[in-house]
Amino acid sequence: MIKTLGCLRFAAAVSLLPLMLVQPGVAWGPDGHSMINRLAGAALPADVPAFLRSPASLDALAYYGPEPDRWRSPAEPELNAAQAPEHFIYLELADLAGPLPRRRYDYIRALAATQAKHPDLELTPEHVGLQPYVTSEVYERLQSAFREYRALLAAKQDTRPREAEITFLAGWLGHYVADGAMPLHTSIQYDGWVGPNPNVYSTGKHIHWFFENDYVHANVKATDIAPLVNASRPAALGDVFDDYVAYLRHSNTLVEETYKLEKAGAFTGAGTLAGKQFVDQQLAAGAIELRNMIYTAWLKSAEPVPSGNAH
Amino acid sequence: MKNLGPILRVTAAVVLLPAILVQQSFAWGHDAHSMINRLAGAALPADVPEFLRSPAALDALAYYGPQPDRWRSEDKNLYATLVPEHDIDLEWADLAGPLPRTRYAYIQALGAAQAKHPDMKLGPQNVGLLPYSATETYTMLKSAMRDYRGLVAAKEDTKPVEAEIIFLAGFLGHYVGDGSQPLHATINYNGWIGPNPNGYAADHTIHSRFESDFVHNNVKAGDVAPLIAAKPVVMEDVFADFLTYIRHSNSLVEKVYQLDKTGAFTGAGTPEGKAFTDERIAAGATELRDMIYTAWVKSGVPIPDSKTAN
Repeated sequence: MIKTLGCLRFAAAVSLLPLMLVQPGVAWGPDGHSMINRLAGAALPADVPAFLRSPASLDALAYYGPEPDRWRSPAEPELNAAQAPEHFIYLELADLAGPLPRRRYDYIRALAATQAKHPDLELTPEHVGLQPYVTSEVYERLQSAFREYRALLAAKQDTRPREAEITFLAGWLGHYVADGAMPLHTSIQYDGWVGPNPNVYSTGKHIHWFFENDYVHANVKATDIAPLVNASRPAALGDVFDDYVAYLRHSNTLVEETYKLEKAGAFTGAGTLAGKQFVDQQLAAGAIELRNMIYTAWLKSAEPVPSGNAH
Repeated sequence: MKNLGPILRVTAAVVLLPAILVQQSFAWGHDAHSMINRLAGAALPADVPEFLRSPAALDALAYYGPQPDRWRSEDKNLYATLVPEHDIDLEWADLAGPLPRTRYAYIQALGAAQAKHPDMKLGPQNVGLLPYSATETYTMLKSAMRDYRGLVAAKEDTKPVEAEIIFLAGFLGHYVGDGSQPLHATINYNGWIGPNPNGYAADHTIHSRFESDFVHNNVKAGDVAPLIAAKPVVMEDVFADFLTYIRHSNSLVEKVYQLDKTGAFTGAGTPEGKAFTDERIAAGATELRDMIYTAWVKSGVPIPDSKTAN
């Protein structure tokens, strides 16, 4: 009997292993990330090169969607420590440092200066998060790679290494853009309500993962999201950094709604209709923003590099 | 009295700071980066999967070698962020104590050192982040190789992960290549700063004269290939190994200036300049080959227990 219990415990531990291996804050689960990347690629307009819209490329984009979470394995604690803050930003804390600077190290300096005024808070970049920086940095790499692709094409040179790179960069970018659509990735209310809680929202460390992984895995299909994505026309973004920060701020406005829905059981089991609509809408928002960023990178890569860029 | 030397040197360096803030050039030029990547790929042993040693992979590795330099020119904000990934001024980094293993612990250590040296600029963007960009990319590569093994075992499509592995190995190659260039590991990055009794070049041309023009005109892959260490090595501690590698590069900084003073890198240069440059490019290719090989071998080690997760 004792032996049987031991076996059962072991079996239970093994079945829970995949959950335990995933640390808090791994954005959407693999399903949500793959879906957003694939849908964004499929929704690119026909003036984007065909190689990036091909079935093989859509498969690769879907594969790369969860990749930055796979980099955060316990086998690689140093990489995890360096990369964990790339996935989120606590906008409530970041805003204490003033308007978000455009450059990563200016932001880190601004946080350090603010820390002196708020010794009771932890205002290090690894605690406050770096979401908009990694996203705009990967975006710029993608735009640069598109520029080189155009040049290679014009020179009738081999474009295959460049095409593989572009697909990878677009998929890598997709991870962070998708994270930005998940409201809890933009807030100190990251995984359980903190501070005064008159509405008695969940304070348990499970809301984040249940919302973004379990619920999506059990209830959301790409075909539910595709019509929402396709209803939006591809748009060239003006200032990509500003647009992306506005996108994050919009996600942040949905934080309390996420907790309200969770309290109503919207993400438990089969959830509720309101929960399903909310999740579908955020997954579609991620795919639309990603599609528009990839499209913008393609269009802007045709423009000359602005003069005065350091080189 | 003995201790005054370094302090004077640092003070002089600080006085000259504005001049050296006109950072920073390209690492090795495109030729050397492509060469290092291609040679490293070609020197991988046969137990590394064939897709990473194929002619197409070697072409891609060569193409990706200069890539992080191309990225930097895209946007001035991106440039400011990515420039410090390519180098480290070890003389200043060491003011923060032994180099921590993680990027933000290092940035914190620099912040603490800054408080003790208010006259210096010890931000990460000034001091450089090369060991972190290199070892983080190495770890991404190792992780991707682990997934490759999993997909092969599950008989699933490996094409996307193969493309990623080739890209990450090429991306890694850029930073490893930078680490073999002595001027990427020092405050004397592009012209001697501080007291200069030997009259070394102080204008801001030595960096590209050595790494771009001289290499472009005088160095061929066939000269370098025989100098790559024959036997691949699995590194025990990649971070520690990489630090040793860049500290060795740093020990060669004055040698670069001495050679430059004799005209070793001007025009066709001298046999000493050629031998020195060939050796440095081969050192980069050897280190890169060994890091890729180590990533492959270590990617076969099972993931530790989840309790080690933070």
